[in-house]
Amino acid sequence: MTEDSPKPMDDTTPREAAEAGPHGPEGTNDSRAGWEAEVARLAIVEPSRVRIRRDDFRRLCVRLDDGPEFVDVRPAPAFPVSGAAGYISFLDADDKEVLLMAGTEGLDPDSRQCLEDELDRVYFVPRILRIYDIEDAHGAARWEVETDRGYRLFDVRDREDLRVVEGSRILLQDADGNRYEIPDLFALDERSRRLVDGEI
Amino acid sequence: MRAGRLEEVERLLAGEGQEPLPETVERELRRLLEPGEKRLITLHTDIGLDGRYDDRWLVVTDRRVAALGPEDGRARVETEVPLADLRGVRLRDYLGNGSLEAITETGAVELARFSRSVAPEMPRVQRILRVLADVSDSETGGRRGRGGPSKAVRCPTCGRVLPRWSEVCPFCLKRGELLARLIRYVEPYKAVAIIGFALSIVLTFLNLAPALVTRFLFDRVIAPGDLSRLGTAVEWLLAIYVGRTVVAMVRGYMMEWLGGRVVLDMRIQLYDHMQMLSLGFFSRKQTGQIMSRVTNDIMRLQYFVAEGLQQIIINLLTIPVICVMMFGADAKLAALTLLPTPFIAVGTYWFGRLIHRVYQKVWRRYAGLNAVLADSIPGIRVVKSFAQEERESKRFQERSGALFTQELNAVKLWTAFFPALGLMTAIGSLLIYWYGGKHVIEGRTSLGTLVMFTQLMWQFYMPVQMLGEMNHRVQHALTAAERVFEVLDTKPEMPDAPGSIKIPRIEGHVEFRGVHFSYEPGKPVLQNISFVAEPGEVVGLVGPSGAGKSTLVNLLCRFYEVEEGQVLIDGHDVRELSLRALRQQIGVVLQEPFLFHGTVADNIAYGVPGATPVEVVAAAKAANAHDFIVNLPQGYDTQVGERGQLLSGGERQRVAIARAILKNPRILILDEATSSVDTETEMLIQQALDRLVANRTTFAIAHRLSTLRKASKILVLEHGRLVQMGTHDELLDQEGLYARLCRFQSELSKVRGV
Repeated sequence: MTEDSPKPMDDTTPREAAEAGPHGPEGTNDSRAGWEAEVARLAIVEPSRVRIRRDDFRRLCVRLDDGPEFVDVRPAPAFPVSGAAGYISFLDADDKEVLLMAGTEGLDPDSRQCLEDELDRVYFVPRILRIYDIEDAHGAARWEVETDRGYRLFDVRDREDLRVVEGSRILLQDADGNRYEIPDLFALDERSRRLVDGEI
Repeated sequence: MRAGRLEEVERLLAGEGQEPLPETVERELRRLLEPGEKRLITLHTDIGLDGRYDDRWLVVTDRRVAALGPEDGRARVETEVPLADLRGVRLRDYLGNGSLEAITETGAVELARFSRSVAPEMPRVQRILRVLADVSDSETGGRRGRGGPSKAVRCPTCGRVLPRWSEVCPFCLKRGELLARLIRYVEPYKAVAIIGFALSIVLTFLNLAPALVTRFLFDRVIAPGDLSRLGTAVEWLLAIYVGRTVVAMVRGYMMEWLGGRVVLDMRIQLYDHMQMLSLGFFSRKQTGQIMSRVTNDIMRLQYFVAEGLQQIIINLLTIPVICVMMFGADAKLAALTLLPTPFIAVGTYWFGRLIHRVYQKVWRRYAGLNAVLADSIPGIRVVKSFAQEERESKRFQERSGALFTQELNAVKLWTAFFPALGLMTAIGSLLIYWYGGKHVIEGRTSLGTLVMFTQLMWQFYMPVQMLGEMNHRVQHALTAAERVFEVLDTKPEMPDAPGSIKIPRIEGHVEFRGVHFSYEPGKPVLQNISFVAEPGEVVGLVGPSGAGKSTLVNLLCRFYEVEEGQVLIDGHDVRELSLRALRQQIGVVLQEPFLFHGTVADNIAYGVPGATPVEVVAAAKAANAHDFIVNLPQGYDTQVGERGQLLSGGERQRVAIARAILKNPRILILDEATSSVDTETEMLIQQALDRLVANRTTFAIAHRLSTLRKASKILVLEHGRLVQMGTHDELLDQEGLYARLCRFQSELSKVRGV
């Protein structure tokens, strides 16, 4: 090998590599204490300090305390599937975060209404409550279901589009890219469960 | 309304856009519209404004846009905006759904919500509304979508969704046609096929003959005690058995030869054809999918051509022959023997379906297990450096366990079914013994017939069972055939037009005139690009990722064709040039140089197969590659490529440059050729490149702007548009994107301490 071959990584100890891992060389990761300071610096805003409204042009506007108002923002739930934390990020028209909110608890009712109305669109994943039929044909399947948003008929191309998480929760994507969710397989009625069971 | 606007809308609609309305909606709409108002679009949307699934209709006329929804059996207008008030149309694209908003002077209203199933219709609606309201297209609607699958996943004929494994509609398969097309591949080997088939028939009869001889043995030899005939009978049996063995051997070899031969032809034809296909074909499909067609699909066909087809014919032939033999000997007993047949046929058919489903599950568990491997083995360095071996082991254990459980389910079925089938057949033989025995004792049937029946029965159930599974097999073979034929039927890339111009030596004058291009309709990648590059000029291409730099050079190579505008080389539209002649004079050096399996010398001479060693060394020297190459233990004969000696990124890069130098192209394209190497290597490469660019028109896509100092012209692209053009110094003076990118990079290099 000549001198300009890439330096092999094997000579770094696992510990060094781990530390250099996610934060890059310039991060403050000398000790755990430094890292805790880093976490503490993360500005997650309490919902009680946030005002959200929708202007006449249907743009979502968000303001922190008495600061300037950000117009045309988009809420983005940070953990929409796992719900590990209720963090909601607000992104501006250039997809840059303007603030990160710690949940919705404590929002004033009007703001909350506005946010929920928008989240209903941003993250549209109907929950399947009952399954009338799954018609399987050569690997593709037509699902006929009742969701929390009403009756729906959709096609799933492949069983790969069904993803089982946390044992009994199932996430689906149909052929057009729509999403659905079965929150808990065992909470479904017997027949629905049997139908789904053949698919996973 | 501006003249010609309606014509433009008609053009955009292209005769589509009006879905039939249910009666209630139709009635309400008639009430709403003024006389003479022209309907342009009626579109069904599937989500109500409250977020529940519901039927709604979006109506666009030459005077207004309105949303109608059914309400307690009678339709109601939910929103309505006169076109005169419309100032803009916004399309919002969210996960799983989207919404369309009309903007007026005083505010915005939501016109419709829709799922992804309807979403593909919406950009057109938006465009039409903008044309009608005369608002400019420049206002971007919503943010870039986090879209779902965008390619057509439905069968164009029947509209059913296609299973992912297939890509062709299993419902619309024209079995007859496909079969005929498959058989055409056998035609050149007609003689072998016919002899093989004849042998198959002979074999069928040889398989049945022993039963007849056995009857003779019992009735004419053993029962009468005729010792003189015993030898003859046994000799006959011996002859049949030997004959059967010989025929089976010859036939087996012939059929395997035939299948192999047909598949060889097909595979070569398929590969040759694929080489001719456009880049578009390859970027639409995953490498794995394409490879699977050349290997797996063709293998399935091999079995089908060699064995499957004949098996089916033989089975269909055997059944009636046995029936004739049995009914001829004793009709009543025959009917009785065949009693379990329908049960066996139906049972096998159902079992086939069931086991298929269970195996699907097993395969999915396998895939899950493979996913862990595919994750953790290439990522083993990360696993180890984060000390997560245990977690990976646990993950693997879980998946292995799941596979085991599922395999047991399959085993349960197998182990239950086949003994059950055995039982059923055994019951058949019991029936023969019971009734047949009675018949023999009562003297209505001979003992030989009884023995013949028991033998034939076993040979009868076999084909019945196979026919039960046949449907499934044929289906699989034919879908494989369809996939192979789909590739063969894909038109090769833009063949040279008759009378295409062959420029023996391109001067290198390149011009883009108002070029528009998109890979997918509605998502423009390049918009209105115009510039001129003089022969010998070095043109730098700069811009954020996704700005369209690589697309621009793709159009120059004519990997794709422009949508609007022209790309001209030496004053000729590239579409008029001979593709081969054009590409022979274009050299490309990519960021990730690709080395083929072979020696270093082979790789350098890839574009010029007849190159002499002197030329190869000269090219390597010019590319600053010679020194490291002669340092390799086997010099220019060192094997590189996937399993060969590993070269570093900078070394591979220089081999690729040598390859381009040897080809001596008139137009050179450097696609981020120096972005992934260290500074010293970059210097060596830069020297090599400086030698390479002399006397040719060069297009350099650069990540490090410093490498473009010498460029005589820099094109700055952003969102598919040409936003700035000039030399490095000129652009620095302008306060624009280029100056900003430069500043950002010098900041960055300070941080790096370069």
